[in-house]
Amino acid sequence: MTKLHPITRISIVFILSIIAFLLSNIFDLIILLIFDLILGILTKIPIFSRKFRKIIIGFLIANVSVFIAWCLFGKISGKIIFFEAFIGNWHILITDQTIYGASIVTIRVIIMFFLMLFFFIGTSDRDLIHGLRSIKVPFAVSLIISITFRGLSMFQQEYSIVKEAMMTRGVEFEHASIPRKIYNFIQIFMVIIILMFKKTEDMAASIESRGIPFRSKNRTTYHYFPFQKKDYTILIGLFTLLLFSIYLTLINKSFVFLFLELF
Amino acid sequence: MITVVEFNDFSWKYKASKDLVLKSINLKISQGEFIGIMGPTGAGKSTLCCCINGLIPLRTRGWIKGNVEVLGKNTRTAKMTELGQRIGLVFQDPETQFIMITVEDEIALGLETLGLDRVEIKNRIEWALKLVGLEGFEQKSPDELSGGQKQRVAIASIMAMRPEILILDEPTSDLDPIGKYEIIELLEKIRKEFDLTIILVSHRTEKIVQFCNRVILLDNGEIKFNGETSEFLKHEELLNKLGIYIPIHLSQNGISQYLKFSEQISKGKYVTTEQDPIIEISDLSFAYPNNTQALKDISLKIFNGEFIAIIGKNGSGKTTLIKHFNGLLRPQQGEIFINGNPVLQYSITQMAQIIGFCYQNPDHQLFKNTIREEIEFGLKNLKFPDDEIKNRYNEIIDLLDLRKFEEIYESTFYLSKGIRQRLALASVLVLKPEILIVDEPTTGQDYRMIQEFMKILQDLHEQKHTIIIITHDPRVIAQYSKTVIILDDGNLIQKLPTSEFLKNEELQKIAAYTLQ
Amino acid sequence: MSESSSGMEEVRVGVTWRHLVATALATGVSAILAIYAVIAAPVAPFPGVSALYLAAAIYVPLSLWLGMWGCFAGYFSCVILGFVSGFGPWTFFWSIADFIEGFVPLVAFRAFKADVDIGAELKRPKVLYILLAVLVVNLIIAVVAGYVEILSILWIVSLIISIVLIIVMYVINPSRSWLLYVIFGIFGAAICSALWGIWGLIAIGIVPPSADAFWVGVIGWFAGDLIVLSAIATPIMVSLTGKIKQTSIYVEKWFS
Repeated sequence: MTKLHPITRISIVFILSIIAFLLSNIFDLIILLIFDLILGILTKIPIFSRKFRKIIIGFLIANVSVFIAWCLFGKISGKIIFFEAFIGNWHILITDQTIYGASIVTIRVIIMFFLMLFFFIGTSDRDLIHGLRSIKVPFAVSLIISITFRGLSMFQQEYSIVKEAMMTRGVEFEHASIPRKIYNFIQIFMVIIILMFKKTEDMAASIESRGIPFRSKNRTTYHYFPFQKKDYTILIGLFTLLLFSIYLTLINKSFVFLFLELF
Repeated sequence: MITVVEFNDFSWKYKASKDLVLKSINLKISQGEFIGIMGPTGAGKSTLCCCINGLIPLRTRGWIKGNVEVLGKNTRTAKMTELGQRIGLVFQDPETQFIMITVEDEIALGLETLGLDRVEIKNRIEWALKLVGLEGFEQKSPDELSGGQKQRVAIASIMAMRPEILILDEPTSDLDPIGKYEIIELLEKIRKEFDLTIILVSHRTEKIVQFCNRVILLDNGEIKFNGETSEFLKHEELLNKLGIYIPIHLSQNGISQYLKFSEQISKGKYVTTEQDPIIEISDLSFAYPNNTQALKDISLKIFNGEFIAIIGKNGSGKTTLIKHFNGLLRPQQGEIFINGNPVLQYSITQMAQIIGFCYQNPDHQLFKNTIREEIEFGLKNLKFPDDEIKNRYNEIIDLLDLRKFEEIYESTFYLSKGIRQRLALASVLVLKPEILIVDEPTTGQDYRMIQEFMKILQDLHEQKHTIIIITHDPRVIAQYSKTVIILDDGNLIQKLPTSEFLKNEELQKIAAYTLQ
Repeated sequence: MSESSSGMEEVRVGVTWRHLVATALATGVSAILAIYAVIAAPVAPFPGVSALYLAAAIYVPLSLWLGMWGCFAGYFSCVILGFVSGFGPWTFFWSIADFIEGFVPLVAFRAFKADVDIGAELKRPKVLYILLAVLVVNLIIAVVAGYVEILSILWIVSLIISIVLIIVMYVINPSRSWLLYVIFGIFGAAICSALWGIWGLIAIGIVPPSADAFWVGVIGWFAGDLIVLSAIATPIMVSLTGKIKQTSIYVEKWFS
């Protein structure tokens, strides 16, 4: 995946996400999830490293909320009722179909999360920007994306420095009351906003001073990102899969059962 | 001689400013000249630069009178794209000039706009990086570069566009001595190899005199001097009045007095008692989460009443070390004692009253809207009684001569950098810390501001505060510090009296120190 | 350019790189705050929703200072949050919620041709802040009571109290800007973004399509944004607007 064109990588994420939403059979989704994980392994992304394990575990824990939301609010009738209650107008009904529906949605979200994770890890900021430019995304858009990436790390640093500076003036963060914490954070926000405006002026001046216009007919592109055979192969495969998924959705069948019927 | 820049009775006022920033400027610059622009902070030097490259008025709101013609174009009606491609401007801050993610992309950014093909862009990138001595740096990101290297990339990205005029607005003020040296060397090279018109804004008189054939002196938006460099230094009275530093070795009496300064300081009124280490560090080691070993087995004693300059190259560990003093960083190995007690025993509030810390950029530590609120911020946090707050406020505001600014400026937002720095110091001093740490007190300041600020620190030292400064400024080290601590690559090289350091060329080399 | 009596001409500029760079940097700052807010104070069981959505304190004031550019910053920061939350490409649809949150107060101020500087000549700020806090609590009660329904009298009473509080605020501080900010910049922004945001989560299938889910989600989102916009964005607006207006980046119309 790391040698694929960035547009191919973006397409994999987007098309597989759309397919995840089209599929409504849990076995199909599980297969797609497995395919997703195999993709991650094939791309040699260190998903089992400590750093990413933490992120993945954190996400999975947070994803429990999706499951819970469907259980609490899904109200899908089924053969087995596990739990039923009324709180005011709120009718909680947890049945086998509720659990099934909750599982489908949860797995969908997990699939999309992993796709995004693999994409972000496997694609450098630079590749993304050059990839977008190769398909004639306006220059101003790609430059903004580049500056956003620069800004993300810049402001994390600024936040730490400002927080430290407040601590040197006796401001407590850890042991402060909640209203005090809010007050302290407001002070930090104000400084961050002012710093942001100052950096805006400096960066904009740097761009303007090089005579760079928003749009230019003459502008060339230095980085050349040609599409290769494997990119075309993958893109054709993805679109075929997408069309097939749409077809299956329309005829209300699933991959797995279709496969079993055929074989 | 062809005139490339001409100001005709030009005046400018920013939208937010009360007064004119440039007043009836009449000025001509010819092709191939190397012009130096000097003046105290707020004189209008940067504004003048922006008027030459068209940022003013094409991209800035304000009020204008008169005209500026650059390369035959009136800047009121010219296109910014055309001016930007023919006039290069290097700014002071190397960090915010770097827009793209790699060096190569940064240089290519402007070249793509010129409509050059890939082969030509590649050739120019290689050429530009060779010019600035950064061959092989194409794939480096800004995080991997030092300040001097980023600034060189900025120059490379402009030189690659083959400008006709090159403007450098205090290009070395945010750099360490090595970075400064690299840029100056590069300028020398560019000057020799290319028939460019170069305009250099700097507070460093020795560099202006070394490079420029003409000097323009600005004050309060007006040109006070415009003439040959050889004539410039003869106006000592004017230069002194405007707070322009006259290098000792270039002044009329021609005697280098730095050693004498240092010896005077050592005989001064400062009292240090060797038996009372106020800070004691033992076998301190620290590595950042990315495994950069920032400090290695440092053992050190700092005594009550010392005036210390911590010096060393960028990345030597100076800031990391001082952050351990007040507990902002915790050592992985070793111990730190403040007044005989382990530093971790102190709470945040206690530490704030023992160690005061002034950051390099005052914007990082000014949180409130008015001068009064800012100074009182720390005291209110520590729940001082109202009477005490009022007394301390009055004491500090007079000590640092800030009262007049409180009357003029309704908000700290409008203060100049030098005054904000003074305010940052006031906000820390009001807590009456025993130890005062100041990180780069002189960056971007003119000579007069530096003298005023250092005098305040000197007065505090006489009142028995322990003063620790991190600085690259050789004049400040020589004139004010009594002791230097030299760090290199996370190691403590030596702690010794400044007078001895000034005689030791080897140590000066390690610390990247030079008076030139 | 326009002339003054001293012979100087005023220079005005249109859209410049400044506006795009501001959007980019604001997106970065807001995105970090958005992700942090969702992790630190989630509204279980609604992914991507926070009980204290700190990012709103950045891009809502920015929308009033930078016009549409601030709205774009809100939108793109939410897009980043959506990707991180696992919403995939549907985040482009869902993130319109944060665009709306900046757009609603912007439209109000432009439509009424009001000055965004709510801090100019602000009278009795401490009293106003207390009234604002009471108003926020009161409106949350009103919305919760309205949903629960059995306490519908409470809902009506809360609504009346809210209206009375707004009138009292206007009497104390007769500023059109303040009134518009409270109605559209705090409440209007929060409710509109909550409605779209939760509906969006239902539309993309993250949240079940039930009225209960919808209203519980809206209450959580609304309350979270109300608190941030009133407690954090308001002092930021009061303190900084006057200064931002003096800069070249300030947008008087929609884009410049």
